[in-house]
Amino acid sequence: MIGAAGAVREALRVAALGVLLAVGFAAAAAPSAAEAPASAADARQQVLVLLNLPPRHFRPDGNYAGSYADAAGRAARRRVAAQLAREHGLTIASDWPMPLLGLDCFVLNVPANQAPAQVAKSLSQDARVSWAQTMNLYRAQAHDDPLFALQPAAQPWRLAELHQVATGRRVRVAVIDSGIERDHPDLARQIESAQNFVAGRAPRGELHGTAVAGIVAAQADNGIGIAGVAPQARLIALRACWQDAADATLCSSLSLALALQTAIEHQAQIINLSLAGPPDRLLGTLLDLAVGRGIVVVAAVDRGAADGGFPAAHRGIVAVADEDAGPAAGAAVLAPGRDVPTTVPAARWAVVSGASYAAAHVSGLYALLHEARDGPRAAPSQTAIAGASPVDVPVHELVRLADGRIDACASLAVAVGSCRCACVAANPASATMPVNASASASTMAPTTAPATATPPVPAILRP
Amino acid sequence: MPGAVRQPCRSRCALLSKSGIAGLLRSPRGAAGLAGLGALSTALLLIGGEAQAQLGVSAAIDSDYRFRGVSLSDGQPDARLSVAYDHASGAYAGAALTRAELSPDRHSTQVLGYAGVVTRTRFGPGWEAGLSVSHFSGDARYDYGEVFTGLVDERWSLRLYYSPDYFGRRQPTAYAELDAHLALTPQLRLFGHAGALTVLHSRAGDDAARSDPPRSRRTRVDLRAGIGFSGAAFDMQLAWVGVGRGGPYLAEYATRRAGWVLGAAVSF
Repeated sequence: MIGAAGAVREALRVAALGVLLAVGFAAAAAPSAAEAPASAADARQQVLVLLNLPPRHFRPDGNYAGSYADAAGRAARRRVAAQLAREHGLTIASDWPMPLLGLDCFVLNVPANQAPAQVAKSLSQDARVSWAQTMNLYRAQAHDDPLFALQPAAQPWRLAELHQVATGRRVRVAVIDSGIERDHPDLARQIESAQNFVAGRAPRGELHGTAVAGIVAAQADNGIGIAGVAPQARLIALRACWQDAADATLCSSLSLALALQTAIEHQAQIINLSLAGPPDRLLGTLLDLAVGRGIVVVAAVDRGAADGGFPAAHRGIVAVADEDAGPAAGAAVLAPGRDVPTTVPAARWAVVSGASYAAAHVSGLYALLHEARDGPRAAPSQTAIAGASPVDVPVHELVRLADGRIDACASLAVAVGSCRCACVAANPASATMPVNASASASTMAPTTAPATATPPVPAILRP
Repeated sequence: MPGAVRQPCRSRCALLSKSGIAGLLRSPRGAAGLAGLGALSTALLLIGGEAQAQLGVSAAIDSDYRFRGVSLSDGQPDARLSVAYDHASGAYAGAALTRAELSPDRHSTQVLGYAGVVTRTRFGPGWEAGLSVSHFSGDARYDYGEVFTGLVDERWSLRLYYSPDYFGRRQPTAYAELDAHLALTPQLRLFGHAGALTVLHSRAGDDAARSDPPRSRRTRVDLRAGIGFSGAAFDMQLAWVGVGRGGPYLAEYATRRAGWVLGAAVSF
């Protein structure tokens, strides 16, 4: 039993604890040096050094998750990084633990008189280092030419019919891009969470990210603007890119890696990467992790690269190119990407063009497929679709026409297991395809015929 | 004084000791030896450590040393020095030095050694197993050891512990704990912990069996929840700790069953 004096003592003790904690937090909340590069020039003169990050385990001093001992391990890794920096004449810019990969990523500044590639190669040979790499830059795959806005609008997908089947309800789509205008009237209710991984540039709505987000999930039936491909999907807005002074949108290895890690941690079901650049080991490892966890990763194709560029050419990634620019490299699918009306900053709408926006269409479509997959399936007798048995069809599949374009309606029909949207002759091109080609989407009228009755099978794309 | 009468086990433990880890864990000397072994293995690992191995040292102070909800410092502030070694393979070891006060005005120093191994998986929780031993200088009656196993994920962990002679009380115990945390920002986190300690049984014929708490009071639940802040080389935590009445109480003094604990640690 605690007496009155004891109660007073206890109250004072708690108050003292609170004051101590507040002072500590205030001191600790001072701006950290750990920041992503603020500019392309900074990024080009940096290397990433990946050190082993041990998994969490038993600790005697508390045992509670995130206990003191984690700080001890962090200090140990900083000590190693400081040694490496000293030995190679570098300085530490920041430190970003990546527990999903079991790595701690240190960003080191390279002096102007040293080549980052050589420094990274030298660091990679150090036994204390898991690996080191240069900081790569990625460019959003959109046309910068303002005259594109004057060209005719792209042929839309048959969204109204698709939306009678699915709207992407409760599907989380991570848009890793430049800043999304969160209070845009067509996006304000669509964003579940947002994070900024670009330091030195205040979070704000930027053209590329806002346009991509609008195509994926702009609000429908609100009387203004556009309807996104998946208007009831939930957006995770991860700003890893910034609008450069030269009307280009750039991203770095580090900012993308941090955003990818966050998308995985937030259990995004779809990740949109409307960007391209050189292959990158850190990003590749995170992409492998995402794909391994069943996340659909959609990336824009860079037609300037023979293989479509990275990450589009990476294993397991859904590569998407603009359908109006003709066939693309590899297994890339084609989707609308020219003169697409969408949201832009300052609460406006405009038309945009580029593979970035084609990728956004496909991300939205995957959100519809996710919802359709999770919904009730039709009975097998009602699900025969052009010889393909829906029960055998994995969820992440797109029905592709012979010319590489996606038949959105057929894809959704396969996913939902029935033909609830009017797919017949949904696409003029598909209606003219040879009967034994992958144009069978055009024949997908509801049927109770056995699945084997019609030999043509849609081309199925597996990411 | 909460809990059952403490049973010094200096003589009986010798009779009951068996070969193997279980025997060692029961014996105070064995526990002390294993604590030394933990420290030694840490040193050996350091000497022969691989390049990607990491050594961390930290010094911490807490406003109250609460172990599984029970104060081991009579509600007074406490200091601790820890060394932790992580091998790239997932093996780990370490030691901690903590001031303890298990009975009024009898100060002792707890030397805790531990070692274990944890697996790493990218697509699910990892598996962990290990042992820890504690030696109390100046009052070796409390020496004890535990083995544990569990699942560890990035945000949570679930562990089961078994001790054949918990704090030298000649009572085999099992302890289950679930820990989780949620990162609010890269620096700020919420954390929570729930644990349950239960007396499994006393050995047949033991005097201890007669002093066992009734079955309904053999299990004690402890809870902890709080907020933590991590800086570059320091860590702070403010937590509320609560503990039930059941199970074996370790300390021989009355202690508050619930309260706030503030802690801070600096790492090197």
